[in-house]
Amino acid sequence: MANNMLEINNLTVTYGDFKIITEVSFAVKPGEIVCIAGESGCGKSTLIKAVLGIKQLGTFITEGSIILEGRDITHLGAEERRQILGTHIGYVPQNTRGSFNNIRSYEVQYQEAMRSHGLKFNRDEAIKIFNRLNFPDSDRLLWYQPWEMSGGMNQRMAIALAVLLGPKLMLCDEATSVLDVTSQKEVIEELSKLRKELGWSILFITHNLGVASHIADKLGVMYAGRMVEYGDIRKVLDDPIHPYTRKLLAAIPGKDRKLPVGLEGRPPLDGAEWTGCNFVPRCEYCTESCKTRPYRLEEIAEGHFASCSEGRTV
Amino acid sequence: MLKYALKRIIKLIPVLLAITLLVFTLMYLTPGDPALAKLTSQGGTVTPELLAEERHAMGLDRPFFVRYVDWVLNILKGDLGTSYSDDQPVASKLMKALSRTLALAAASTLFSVVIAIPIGVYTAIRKDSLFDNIVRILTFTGNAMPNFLIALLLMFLFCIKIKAFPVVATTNLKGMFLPTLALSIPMISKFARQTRADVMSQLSEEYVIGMHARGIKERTILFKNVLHNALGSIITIVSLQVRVLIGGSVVTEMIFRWPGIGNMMMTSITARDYPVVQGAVLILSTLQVLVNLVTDLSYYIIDKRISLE
Repeated sequence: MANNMLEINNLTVTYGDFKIITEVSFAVKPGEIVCIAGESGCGKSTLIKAVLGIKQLGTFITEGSIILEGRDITHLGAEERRQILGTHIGYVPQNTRGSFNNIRSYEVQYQEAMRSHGLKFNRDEAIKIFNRLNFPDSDRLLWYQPWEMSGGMNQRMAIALAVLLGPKLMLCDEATSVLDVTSQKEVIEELSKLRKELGWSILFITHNLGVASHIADKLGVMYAGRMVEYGDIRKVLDDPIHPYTRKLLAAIPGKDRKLPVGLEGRPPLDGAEWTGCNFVPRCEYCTESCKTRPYRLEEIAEGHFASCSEGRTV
Repeated sequence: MLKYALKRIIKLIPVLLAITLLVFTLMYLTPGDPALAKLTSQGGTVTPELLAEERHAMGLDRPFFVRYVDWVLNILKGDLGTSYSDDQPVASKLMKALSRTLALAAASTLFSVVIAIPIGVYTAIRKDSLFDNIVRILTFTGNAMPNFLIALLLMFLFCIKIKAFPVVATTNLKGMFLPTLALSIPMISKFARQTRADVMSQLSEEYVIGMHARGIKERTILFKNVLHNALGSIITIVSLQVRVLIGGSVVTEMIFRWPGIGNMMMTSITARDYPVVQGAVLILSTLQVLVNLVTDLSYYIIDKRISLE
């Protein structure tokens, strides 16, 4: 699997004493967009935090490995990690104020980012990128401070800075979740465009399956720290296998003004130890064997993996 | 920003007028007679005739308003009057004392800021380390000790035990050392605690993670961003201290016999030397208002979201 951009192998991540992610494996190929979806607290953001591996985030990898372009980055030292962050791995957070210092101009913050990696900041080059991404008022943008900008514009400025720093892998943690639909569309179109033009691979975390359907090549569905289904986006959306994925898709609000069908019950608490499938308490198809059967992601159809196919009608 | 500063300075005029009236009224109402105090200090017997003559010479027999207007008009000409006690012009007397107080204030503030901010930043990033705990004990102690005690302890240590400094401070750099240190110890304690708290709260802000995720150097994050954002409240506490210092640290100045404005105010009040007291209060009030203005402007320089209007 040497030609993968990112490989997550059997990853288990804890946060203090709590196990958040259990034995998750998947890969992101060069130029591919992989979306990870699931309820709040399922561990999808933790996955991104684990890849970033910033000490302050408090995530701790207890098992498994993270391979970036063939290089094991699971337990890199602080300085080695700093060097790959930004230039090899880009990041757009959910909080639109989470990328920049709110009260310093974009220009100084762009400069600091470039200089930290020994790169030279060139105003014209930045403006060229703004123009390419159709930013309004591109000549003056750098003079502004983030608080003067909308959330969507802030996200786009973070993306433009990533273009300057030149990573091949982008991590987007609910990057469009708090944006209005227009900004959401702009950000998603930009990411798609940059994927095409620069060959970016993108790991996109979202709870919005509509967004995922629009942008992704692959979709992974996580439930309570485990990857329960993974495969080509069309296969997963059109022919969901895992009972949880099916419930999740049924919960998407329709145009009929009716409240969507929610999921009964709650996911197990973080860190709770489970034998067998941890979806059992909420699953209407579960059998006696589900309570003891060990977790394993199996290839049910070609390129379509799931940890369970109970109750599926083919 | 310049326009705003000018506007603020113009607004200063009515404030100062109000201050002159207040000071003058208060001094007028204070019991005691400057003429009597002056005559007594010169020795000899004070007869009612002599007192009346002296009161007339000092202009004390004129009505309140005449004296007030006269005083204000003279101020506009740059004349703060003459001291009752030694017949020196008040303006030059005050300037000499003020320059010494300001030198002490500037030296101790600068010294405290230079020492306290790095300590505050370091203890914030190495929270609960041995160094942080030691600093915590020292800063609590420095904060809790009254100023006169610090001054006396320093004097005991440096002047009596080590004999490195004379007991009565000379008005040169060497003489400034101990009063500066005495004023700095509580300030360093306050500034370091404040810096630590603000840097820690900034470190938990999400943009810090965003910057780490971009591989920005720790130094840049800390000193150009976190500290920049924390500066607002650090400036607040520094400017509060500066305002206290400008008023003259009476106790410290008296213990070290530093001939600053605090010292001068004390002696003038005791001697009922009205022109000196009035002049000093006026100049100090002006300085206080100017410090406020500089503080407000620096908030704006740090954070443009703060409206100047």
